[in-house]
Amino acid sequence: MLESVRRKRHQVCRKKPQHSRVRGAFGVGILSAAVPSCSLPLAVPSLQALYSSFQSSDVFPVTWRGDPRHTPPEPPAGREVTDHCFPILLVPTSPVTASIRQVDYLRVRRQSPSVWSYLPSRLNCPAKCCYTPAHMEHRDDQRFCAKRPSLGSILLGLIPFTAACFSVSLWDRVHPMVLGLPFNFFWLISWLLLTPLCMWGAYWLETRRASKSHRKEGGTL
Amino acid sequence: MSPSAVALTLISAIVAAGSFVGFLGGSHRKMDLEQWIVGGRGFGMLLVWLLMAGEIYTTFTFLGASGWAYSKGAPVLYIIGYTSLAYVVSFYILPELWEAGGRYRLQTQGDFFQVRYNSKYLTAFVALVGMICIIPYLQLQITGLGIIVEVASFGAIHRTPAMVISFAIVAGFVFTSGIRGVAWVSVLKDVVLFFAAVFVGVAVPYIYFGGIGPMFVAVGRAKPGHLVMPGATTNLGHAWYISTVLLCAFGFYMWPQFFGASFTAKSGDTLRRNAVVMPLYIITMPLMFFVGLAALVVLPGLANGDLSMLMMVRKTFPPWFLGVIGGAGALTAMVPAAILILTAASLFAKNLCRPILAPSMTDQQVGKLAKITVVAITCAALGSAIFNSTTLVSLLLVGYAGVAQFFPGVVLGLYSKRTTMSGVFAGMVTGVLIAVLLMLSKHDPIMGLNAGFIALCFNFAVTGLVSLLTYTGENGFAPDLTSSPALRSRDNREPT
Repeated sequence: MLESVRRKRHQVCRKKPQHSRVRGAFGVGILSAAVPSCSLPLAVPSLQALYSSFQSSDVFPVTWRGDPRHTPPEPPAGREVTDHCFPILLVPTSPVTASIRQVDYLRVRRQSPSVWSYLPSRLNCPAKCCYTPAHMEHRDDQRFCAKRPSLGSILLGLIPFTAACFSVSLWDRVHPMVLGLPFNFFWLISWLLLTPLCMWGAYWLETRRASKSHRKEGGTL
Repeated sequence: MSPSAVALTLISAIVAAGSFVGFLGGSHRKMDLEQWIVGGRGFGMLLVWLLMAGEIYTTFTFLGASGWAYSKGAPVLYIIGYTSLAYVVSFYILPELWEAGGRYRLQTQGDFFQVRYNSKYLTAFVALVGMICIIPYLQLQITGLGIIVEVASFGAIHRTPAMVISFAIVAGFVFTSGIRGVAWVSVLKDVVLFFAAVFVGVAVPYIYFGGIGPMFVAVGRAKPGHLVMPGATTNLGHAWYISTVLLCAFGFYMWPQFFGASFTAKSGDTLRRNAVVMPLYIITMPLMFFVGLAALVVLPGLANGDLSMLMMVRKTFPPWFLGVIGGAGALTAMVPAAILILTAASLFAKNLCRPILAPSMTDQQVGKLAKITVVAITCAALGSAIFNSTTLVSLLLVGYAGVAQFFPGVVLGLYSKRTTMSGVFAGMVTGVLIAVLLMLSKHDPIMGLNAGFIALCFNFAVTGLVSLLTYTGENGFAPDLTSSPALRSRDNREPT
């Protein structure tokens, strides 16, 4: 199980977009404003040393130098890769350092948003760096933008609306009585059971769509 | 033991158990503002489900569902109509709201308007309208609790001390445990209430009529026309049904407390799955209707329809069972009330007071202010519940029509970049004004339609029109957390 998760993760990583494109997106990285700038342009930070300053159990480093399209190394022994962990790209972005081909991955538990606020201050990075969760790297504009639901799921949601609301004059009568209930009571109560069915269909459509776009974008983890 | 002593003991035992769970819920955690308001965003599906359901089963549904079935007849069906459709609406909105909530670390409804429209005046307006709508709702819970305890204890506890004691407890566990305490009391309450409702709803028709079918036949014979709309009323027909169901289904998750509850979930997917299964939870609601309808034949001529369920239980079952119902009823008032207090306090401190009056407050100070506000709001609502309870229902209806006016701002704001701040502000002011004017001048329903629904239509029209006129291209959510000074976290962890 764990092995398969790991393998999947690595396949996904291999499909990452080109380095240059990634770099372009970092200009608007969420945390870029909080990173202290420094005048040491070509200094590649000793990342291993920096990582060792992390005490928190929810951040652990995977150091990896080289081409970002290659498979990152295994995480340190004893650290599990779970679905709540995802890599962060750590890239020097000042114009001079742009040629440095170095991308490092941190894995951070997604569930603790507080990590984002202390990460830059803990990483006392000598080069001007940006930190971006890898799953956002493909977005050029990082403003929040809601995904619209698919047409199919909206149509499925309209079924209960039509049945329990708009068609009221068709079903609002006493006869025929079903299971001892007047027809209007019976109709609405049965839609309490049928509405979850429709919405389950919509849920199925939405999750299928989500996993499709997941694959298309080369893994958003 | 006398019947009242038995009932009294059980009511106090259940309330005490509930309070114990409430205080325990947050006792192991350090309570910062994030934990207090949104439970650290870590609630799983079951807890979110119970929390949200806990907010739906308020005293209004507990007493009101059977009460409306008793006094109005078929129009009561709107309750099951709109609740199941509100979940359908939530399926499309809440997961995206949660995404935005996690990204910008939103805690309240006002925060959402702040990151989307970047105007502290719009945010303050939303917070103000939300708070004004919450207070009568809270007052209704308090009064309902007074009625339940008074009837269930055979008049042994007068409603005023019952209200004061239980709301002191509520304020206490909101103060110490925040939303976590509330969620765990909700678990206890739902278990008790579910079994009580199923038992009463099934037993009452069987005891008096020998089954649900014969009961409906008897009701149809006693009151012809009661079982189809407009029932015992003259103006609650089909047009009213459609407009009210639409208004309530759209407005439901615009209540600041429901809106805020979505941020407690662990993931957007939790909320989506929740929306799929939630309608099943309303299955106990028709049972409340049955009790009200049975009371129509068994106990005709009650002055207050809202008492029909409690009077039926008192007539049919032994005192200890009335005690259980009374205890469950008291918790039913306490859980939603706790959430209402929590929401109103955080709206006031975070979205109204800090941005407008004291921009330099830190998060810790906001937390303190919110906790003081908890006490103030509880006292205000208690006071008005004790001294004035005449206009409650009309105030609540205005409240529903009021919060529904947030809907265009939320939905259009979420899905369209072309919606502008001026558009939403203008639409919301128009909608709130129309709703208040029509309802306070007793024009509800107007032309067979729900007045709040008409206000909502105008709201949509004005929002769309003004947005088109004022759209300049630079719009949408804030680029990141730091660009919105009103929301920036001011705790110690942030690098300087």
